[in-house]
Amino acid sequence: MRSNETFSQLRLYLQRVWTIVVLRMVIDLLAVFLIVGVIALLAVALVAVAGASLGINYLHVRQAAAIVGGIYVSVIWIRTMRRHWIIAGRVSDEKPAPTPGTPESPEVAHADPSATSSN
Amino acid sequence: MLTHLLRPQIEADAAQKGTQALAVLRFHRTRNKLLWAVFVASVTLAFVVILISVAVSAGHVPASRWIYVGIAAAAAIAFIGEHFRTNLGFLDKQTRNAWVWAGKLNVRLNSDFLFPHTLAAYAFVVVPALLTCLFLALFSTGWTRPGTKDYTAYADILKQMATFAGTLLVAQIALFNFMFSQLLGKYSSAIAVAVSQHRVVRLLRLYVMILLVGLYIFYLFGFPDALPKTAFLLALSLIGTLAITIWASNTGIRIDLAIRYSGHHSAALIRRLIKPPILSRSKFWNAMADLGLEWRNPERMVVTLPPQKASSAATTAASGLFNAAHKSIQENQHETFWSSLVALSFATEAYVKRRRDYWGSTDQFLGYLNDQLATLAKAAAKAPNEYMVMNTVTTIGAIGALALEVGRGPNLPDVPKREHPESHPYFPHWQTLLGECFELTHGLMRTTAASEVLTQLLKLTKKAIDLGYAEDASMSFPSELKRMYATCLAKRTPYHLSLAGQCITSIMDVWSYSLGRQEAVLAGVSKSMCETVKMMALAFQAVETLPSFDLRDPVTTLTSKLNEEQVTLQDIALLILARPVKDRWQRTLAVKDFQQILDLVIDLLKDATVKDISFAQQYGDVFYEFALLIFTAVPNEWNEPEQRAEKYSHVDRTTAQELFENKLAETIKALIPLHYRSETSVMEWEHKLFSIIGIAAATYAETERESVRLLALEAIECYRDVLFEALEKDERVHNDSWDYLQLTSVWARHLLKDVALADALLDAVANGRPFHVGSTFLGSSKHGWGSYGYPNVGLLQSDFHIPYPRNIGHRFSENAKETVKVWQEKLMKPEELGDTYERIHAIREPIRKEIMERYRKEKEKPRPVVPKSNRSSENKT
Repeated sequence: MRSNETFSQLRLYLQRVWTIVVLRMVIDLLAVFLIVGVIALLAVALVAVAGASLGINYLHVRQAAAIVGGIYVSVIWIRTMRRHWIIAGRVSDEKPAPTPGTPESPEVAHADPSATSSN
Repeated sequence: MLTHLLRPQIEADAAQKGTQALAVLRFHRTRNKLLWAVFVASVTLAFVVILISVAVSAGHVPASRWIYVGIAAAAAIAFIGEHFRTNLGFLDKQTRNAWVWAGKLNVRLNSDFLFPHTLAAYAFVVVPALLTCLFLALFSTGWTRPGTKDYTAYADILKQMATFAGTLLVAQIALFNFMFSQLLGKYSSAIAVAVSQHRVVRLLRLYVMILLVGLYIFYLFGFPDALPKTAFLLALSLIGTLAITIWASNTGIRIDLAIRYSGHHSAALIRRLIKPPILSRSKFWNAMADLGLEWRNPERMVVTLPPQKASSAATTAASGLFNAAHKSIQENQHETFWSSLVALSFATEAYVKRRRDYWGSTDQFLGYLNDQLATLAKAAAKAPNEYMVMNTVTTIGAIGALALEVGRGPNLPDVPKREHPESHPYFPHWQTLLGECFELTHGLMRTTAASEVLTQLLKLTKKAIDLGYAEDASMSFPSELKRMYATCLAKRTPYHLSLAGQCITSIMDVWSYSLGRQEAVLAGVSKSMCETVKMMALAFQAVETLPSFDLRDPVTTLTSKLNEEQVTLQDIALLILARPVKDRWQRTLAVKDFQQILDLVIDLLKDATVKDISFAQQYGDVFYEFALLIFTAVPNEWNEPEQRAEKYSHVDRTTAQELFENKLAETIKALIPLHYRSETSVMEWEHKLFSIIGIAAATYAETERESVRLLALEAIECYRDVLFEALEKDERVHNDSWDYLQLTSVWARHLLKDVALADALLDAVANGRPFHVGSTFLGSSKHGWGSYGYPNVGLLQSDFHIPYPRNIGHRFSENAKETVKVWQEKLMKPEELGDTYERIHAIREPIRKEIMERYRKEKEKPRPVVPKSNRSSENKT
């Protein structure tokens, strides 16, 4: 009985780790690689057209892409670790932002009045 | 079976919830777009910074320092970007900003159909032209004169470009002037002129003219030596001009958009002509005035006199748009007609926004609009396309609401806010115009114009309330609506009855809206609405005896909540009860308002019951729900002594609660005989009335309040007397009536503590209830306590319970629900019910046994023997 409970807790924990930590990390990494790739391609096109006059070459583009990729991988890794610590309960979560479109209902002592329609 | 009646309401409710969900989904979608936009922007920026640092470091020694600076900057960008990308508060705020900007852009695109062309002209014509000038200024070192080698080499290109520009100019003049005059001139010359003066048209024409002149000057007198290097920019701007000219010409054939733009153009003109009044002069302008340099328009200095020039300009613009509208009616062009009205709204809005800062309600332009719109409505009502008149009505409502803003004068910060009710001198004019439209359109069958009139009248009145003109809501509005209602009742077709229902809806909407505004409360809107509703409902009950098939008749609209937005009498009562009360006068007004609406319900219920028509059922529901509100929701502040001295001297004045309960008692006593004698049986009337009596008894057990005790006792006695009267007349008293009397015996003994009455009721039931030979209660079709002589209620024949208030139940708080539950338990305590049953059984059992004995003896008596011959003759017969 107790082992079943522990197992379900573990399963829940792993599920949360998968959806909140791993999946988001994968999505962020894919997005970074895609965006950096597209920007690098545009930069290559620019180098091909006017690289000489602008003072940049293919090597510069490759180096810049590698450095930016590295920075973003580091940033994403730090965020992933933070998410993992939040799930593990080692740091407190950020204060959640208010959900848009939540109406505020007035408090009435006995019965609630009907909402008045307006222009 | 009747799902087709409820289905539209269910679908409307579902659609409303869907709209709310859609708004949230759209918000999330925009927020997600912003999230990824921040991400892409930060990555791009970081990449550019790194690329620059790498490129710079390649040219410097030592290189590493620049790379480190670039990496640090890129890392900072990445961290900041990630911070904002995951900050929901920031993203929410930016999403709202994005929506506001998108909305503004949308308005601009809808009002100015050549706005994208203007942007394109700036990008592809003006910017290259300015760059050309800049490059010529920066890179020219000398002037290339005619006859030189460089001139000869470039002269041919100059000649070709000048020819091209000349041809383009001719084409533009032909295209724009001919097309606009031919297409738009027949609607109004003012519209054609407005479009031909559009910024993009003027820009393209002017640019080609300047370019042509410039090229000829260069051709004749030579050119700067850098001109050949910038030729591609000039060529680009010329090609851009050509493309945008073709594009604008293609778009220009949209007459409806051109008319709409004309309204936008007129609005801009009006805004230029009418500036805010100058209420005080600054030191700067004092000094300028001393020097004789105060050149501002003198009209602005006189706040009591509205500017005349703007009014004239607005009238001119409006006349052109009215021409276009009338022409559209003649040609049955719905889209251009609608555009004319939209354009008119643009111009009027611009005028009113500025004009309202000046004093004076009388306005020449608004008066002109009122007259012209009346004419337009008449013309549109005769048009084959009946939607046109509906559009006219919408515009009249919108312009009427705008017109109410005129006359209040400038919004001065040191002037105290007016809290007393007022009326606007021009409200009746616009209301009457809508009334005229109703007269014109209620007979038309393929338009919703008559319904639109009611909607616009509702909006107009709400606007008047918002602006503090609450007397219009209490005086003018009901009288106009009564006229329309009378028209509907005179026709009495299903369509007109639904319009009558909508009249009631409008009244109830305005009523509920006004309850939240102090000016409206002071203006006595509630009293006026009570009288109007009463008159309308009584008039309807005089001519109709059944609700309409689509459930949109006035009585159903007043009493049954079929959708969330509908305002019923019960909702109004709830709003009055929930109104905040601070001062004595506020309490007095609130009590008076509630009393008026209670009287209204009682009068309507009595009328329907006396007339013996089916509406008594609906009013009975309302009465029951009002009673429930009185017992659960009357605020404690309403019952406090009026003067503080009364509290300390223990002066017993009738409290509001007691006042309402006495009213309930009177009504119940009047209703019981009416319902009992009614031929059209109102379903479950006893259930609701006895629920009120039971609640009163339970309340007495809790509070020992005399008014509730009297309510319960008098009602019970009244019911008993009605039954006895029927017995005296040898009328049959139904078993259900004995059931209720038996139940009241329980309440009288245990809750009201009136043992004498309880015993009397018990005796009456024990001796009065008929005996069923061969069966007992236990063997009858009743269930639960019904088997012991107590009432069974509802379709399921369940034990007696306090019915759920269908129309206001969802507004009840948990506390109120809990209170009702406690009452329910008190009313149906098993031991008390069992005790009374035993007492009755003890009286009835000997009588029953005696009857049974007599019956048995009757059966055992030998039958007289009939001779055979007689028997056969009996068989034959």
